[in-house]
Amino acid sequence: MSRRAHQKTPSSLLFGLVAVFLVIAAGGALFLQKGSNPYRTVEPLQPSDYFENANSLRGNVYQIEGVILNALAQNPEKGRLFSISVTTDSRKWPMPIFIPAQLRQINLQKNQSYRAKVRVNDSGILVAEEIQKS
Amino acid sequence: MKLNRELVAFLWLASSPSLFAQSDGDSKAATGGARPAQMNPGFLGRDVPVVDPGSDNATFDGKLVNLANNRLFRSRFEKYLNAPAETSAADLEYEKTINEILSLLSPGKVNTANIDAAWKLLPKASEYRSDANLCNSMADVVYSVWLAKNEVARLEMANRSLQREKSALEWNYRMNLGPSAKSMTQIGTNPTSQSSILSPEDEARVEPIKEALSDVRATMVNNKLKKEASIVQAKIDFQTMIIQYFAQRRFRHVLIGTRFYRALFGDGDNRISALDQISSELPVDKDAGQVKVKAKLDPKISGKGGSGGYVGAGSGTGDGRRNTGVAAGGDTSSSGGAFSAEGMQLGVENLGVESLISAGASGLKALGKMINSLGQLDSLANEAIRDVDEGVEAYKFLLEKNELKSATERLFETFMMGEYMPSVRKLSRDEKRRALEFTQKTNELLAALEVNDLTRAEDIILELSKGARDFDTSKPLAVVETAKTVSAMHLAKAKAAAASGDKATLETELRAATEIWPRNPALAEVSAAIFSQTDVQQQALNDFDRLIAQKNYRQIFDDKVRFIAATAMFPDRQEKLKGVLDRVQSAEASLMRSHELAKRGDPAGAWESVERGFSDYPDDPKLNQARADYTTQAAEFVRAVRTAQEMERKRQIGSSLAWYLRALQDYPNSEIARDGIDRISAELVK
Repeated sequence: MSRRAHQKTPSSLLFGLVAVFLVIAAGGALFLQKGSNPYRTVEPLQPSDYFENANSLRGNVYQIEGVILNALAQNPEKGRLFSISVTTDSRKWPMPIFIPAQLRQINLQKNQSYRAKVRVNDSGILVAEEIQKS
Repeated sequence: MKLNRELVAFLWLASSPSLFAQSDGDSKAATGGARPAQMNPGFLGRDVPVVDPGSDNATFDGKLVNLANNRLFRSRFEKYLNAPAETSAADLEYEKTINEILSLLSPGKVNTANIDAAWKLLPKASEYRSDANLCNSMADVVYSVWLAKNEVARLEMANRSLQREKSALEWNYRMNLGPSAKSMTQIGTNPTSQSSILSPEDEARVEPIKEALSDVRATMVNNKLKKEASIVQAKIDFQTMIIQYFAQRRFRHVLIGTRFYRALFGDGDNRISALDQISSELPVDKDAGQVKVKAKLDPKISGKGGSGGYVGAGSGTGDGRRNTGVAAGGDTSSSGGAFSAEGMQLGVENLGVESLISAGASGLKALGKMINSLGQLDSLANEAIRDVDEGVEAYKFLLEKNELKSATERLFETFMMGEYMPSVRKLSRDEKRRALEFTQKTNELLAALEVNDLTRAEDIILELSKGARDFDTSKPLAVVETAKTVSAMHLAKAKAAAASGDKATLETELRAATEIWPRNPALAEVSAAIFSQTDVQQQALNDFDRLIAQKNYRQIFDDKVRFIAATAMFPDRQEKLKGVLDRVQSAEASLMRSHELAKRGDPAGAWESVERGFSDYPDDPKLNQARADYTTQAAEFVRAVRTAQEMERKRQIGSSLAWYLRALQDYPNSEIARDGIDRISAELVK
């Protein structure tokens, strides 16, 4: 039998291809993620928990995404209070969200969807720290 | 004392000729039982009896007594009217005996034999019931006079023998004197007044004779005094009896007595000294002083009048001979014109039992001066007998004329004057019957007026006017009508007070109306209506208070008409009622609105409407029922609202607001949710 010469794939090439794939995959993922949710690292708020006892969530930071329903009240020095409808699998949850005066540059439009990073304050109100259209 | 009482009663009777003076009852009826004008104290006060002959009224100790119209006289008169006529054989025999006695003692026939015969008839007359043993008493007194006369005769006989003894002693005295003494004693006849000087021998002899002579003389003087005293005492006893019979209105006995007296005491001395004797025997305390009418005059007037200080009390004072009583009385009357002057003060001083006894004694003496002989008593008795007989005749005549009032009055007067006279006692029951009926009716009228039973009084007045032609209905009817009008006025005021809720006036006016006319039929009706109204009102108020305590506002709302009327006079309850009605009306409005919304398929809206009413009136059963019904129909919305409210109560503002938002999402028209949202939102941004 003839001994055929062993044609071996170099291992460095294999590692290189895998690395390239991984890099490409990671880059794509990073690219994709970076465009859809800037607060992806922030825990989303469970509306049912909030409805059950908002006070128990005081001091926590969450991300929420919902449609602005109505402007409830405003104070030029303090900020504006809106209602936002957060949709889950089961239903829509209207929730109050306070936009402090520091974020006055953002125009919040009714029936438009926004994503926000919020903190539950001492009154149990969601106070937006960051907000942007989604 | 009995004699005095009889005299006073007789004098009262004599001054009270009318029976049917209705002023007492009338005045009571007209004034609603108030004190009549006559009750006001006069210038002598209320402690001295004062008789007003015009009205037959006497006032004493503040009480008004109608002399003719009082139980004592009325009952006595009615007893007489019911008594049978005294026409039996015994009665006729008694009268015959009395007449026989009078005949035997009449001035033309009187002699010792007739006096004895008359005296023997006295016990016989006493056997009859009508005589009341008065003739026996007279027989005893006559016998006492005879005994007294026998005693006088015995004393005279004793004095005659003493005179003989005296003469003998005087003779012995002279014979026992010596010759010298004899010559000296011829000057005088009285041995005791002799101024002769006797020798010791003569003195020794005549001394026993002198002593015996002195004893005889003293005994004679004593016998003479005894004789006089015995006769005087017999006379006074006899006079006392006659006066007593006069006071008892036993006029025929008075005549018998005076005739016996004249026959027994034939000395022509007919003076009555018994009254003086009685007055002198009264226990008059001179230290008690006199009853005085005190009159203090204004200085200006007193200077003119002169009497100035205190004026005596007329006949009420003690010793008339000292001129205090009579003179003082004159002063009082003479200064009567000054009584109307300003500044005069009158009063009574020293009024007590002793002073009144003193006054009584004085009065008896005054009476003794007016009636001071048996002849006067005799004529008064005869006049009374004639007057009584005339009164009976007048009664019979007036009865024929159907003038019952006058007839009864005349009979009453006649009865009071001559109750024991044959003409009065012989009236038959039938003749007295009509007067009796009239008397009973008038007594009923007085009783009805006394108790202000005006209906009954009016009926009796009409009845009397039919039976008695001369019965004047105008005065009693005027009294009745006036009282009725006054009562009606009080009732009208009571009604007005009841309507305005003025309880004090209501009670006062009802009491006044009741006092004036207790049996007023309108009074019962008005009282029933007022009290019924009061009961209904009180019941409604009780119900209202109970329902308020139970918070049963729905029941109050359903009976609002009753409660509005009942609480009209009670501002505090009225305020409560207003609050209740507002609350229930609000609940009702909520219910109506919820029904409409439910009909339109809006259970959340219906629930919310009920819920809004419920907050105002949480105890309303209707609201509760509707609320339960709609809660099941709009369960999610209701849960959201209630949770929101609960969270808000717990100060979980965020969750509460979220739940309100959710409720609004479930029912966008929810006012509760919107209010909650606004309330919390405003709080958050402020």
